Amino acid sequence: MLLECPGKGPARITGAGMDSETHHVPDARRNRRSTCWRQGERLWPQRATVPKPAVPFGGVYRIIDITLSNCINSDLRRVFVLTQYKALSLNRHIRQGWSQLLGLGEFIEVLPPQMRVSTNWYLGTADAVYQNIYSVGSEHSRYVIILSGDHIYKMNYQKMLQQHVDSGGDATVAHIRNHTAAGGRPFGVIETDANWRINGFEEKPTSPKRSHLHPDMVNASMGVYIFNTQLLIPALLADAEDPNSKHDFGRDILPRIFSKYRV
Amino acid sequence: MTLAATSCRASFRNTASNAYNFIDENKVGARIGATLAPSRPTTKANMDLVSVSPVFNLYDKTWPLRTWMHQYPPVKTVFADPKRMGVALDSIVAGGSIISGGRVKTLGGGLRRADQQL
Repeated sequence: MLLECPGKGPARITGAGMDSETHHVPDARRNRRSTCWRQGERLWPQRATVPKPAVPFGGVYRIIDITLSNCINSDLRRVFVLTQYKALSLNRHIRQGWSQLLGLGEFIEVLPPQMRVSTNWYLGTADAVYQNIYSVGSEHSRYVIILSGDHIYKMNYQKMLQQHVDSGGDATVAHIRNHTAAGGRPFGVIETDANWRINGFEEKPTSPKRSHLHPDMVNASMGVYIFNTQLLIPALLADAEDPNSKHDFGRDILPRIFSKYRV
Repeated sequence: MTLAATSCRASFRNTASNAYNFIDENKVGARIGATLAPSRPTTKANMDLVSVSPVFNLYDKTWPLRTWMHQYPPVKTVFADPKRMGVALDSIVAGGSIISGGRVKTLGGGLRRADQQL
């Protein structure tokens, strides 16, 4: 799903799901769902006119193309793009440019707020997924991958999904090592043990925990998450009921799940 | 406490979560993934594309970047007259552009439409 807004526009949440029995990757393809959301909050002049994922890149691309290309190249072909506002050009771009790549049962679907469970616009990235929880659930996928639609990188989500499946864990967070000198940057930082098991997660901490391998670096979250659907859905339900929540994956959902002091 | 919150608490109790080390699919020789931080400011990333060896590789056929290509006329430059020569240097120029009577240097985002002013 992709959301945008200070909430989640499409950023995107990409979700991948597989059937419970099929771990074999090729066969699992049709059972995988991707959702993307993108967040349009921090961006430069163009922000005034287009959401960040729709910002032109390299003359002929838009930022959203990068994540969607990653999805297709990773063979994730069920994608929701959660979008909040100014979605027409993005909508058209995706419909005209991307739908022809897909086969039966595959989709890249743009989902603006549907007011199904709430009368609000998307209040945050988690709320955007929550508002589409029906769509997520109706895919019956075992895993959901949450992505952001405004990042510039190349990543094979299939490798991450494979690790997630092999680990038997409930959630997996992609991270990249970052120098602490860049500490002022808006990253979530994860704290792991020697086996990369996550002990804690802090969103934009002032004194971040260092990587256990590189004391001068931090493990910065990339905003790419894989959840077991069984965990994600109750987590979203609980978050939606929490009046103090900002309904953001990094700020609310992950700390709640990963905290040593689980609520 | 609601049912949802209760079941949520129960589900989190035995939650096992793991970190995934980012593997960069961007094949650009010796560069390492850390050079291409996610959320790299878009302007920077755009300007990077015009450099001789950009960090972000647009030419890798094993990891293609797809888009919706608009139907614009081909790029052209006009006026061979030295005083009005249209020239683009170190730039990305996309379909529909006409470079006329001006010199464009290091244009990162790319020219995209004929009606864009230089």
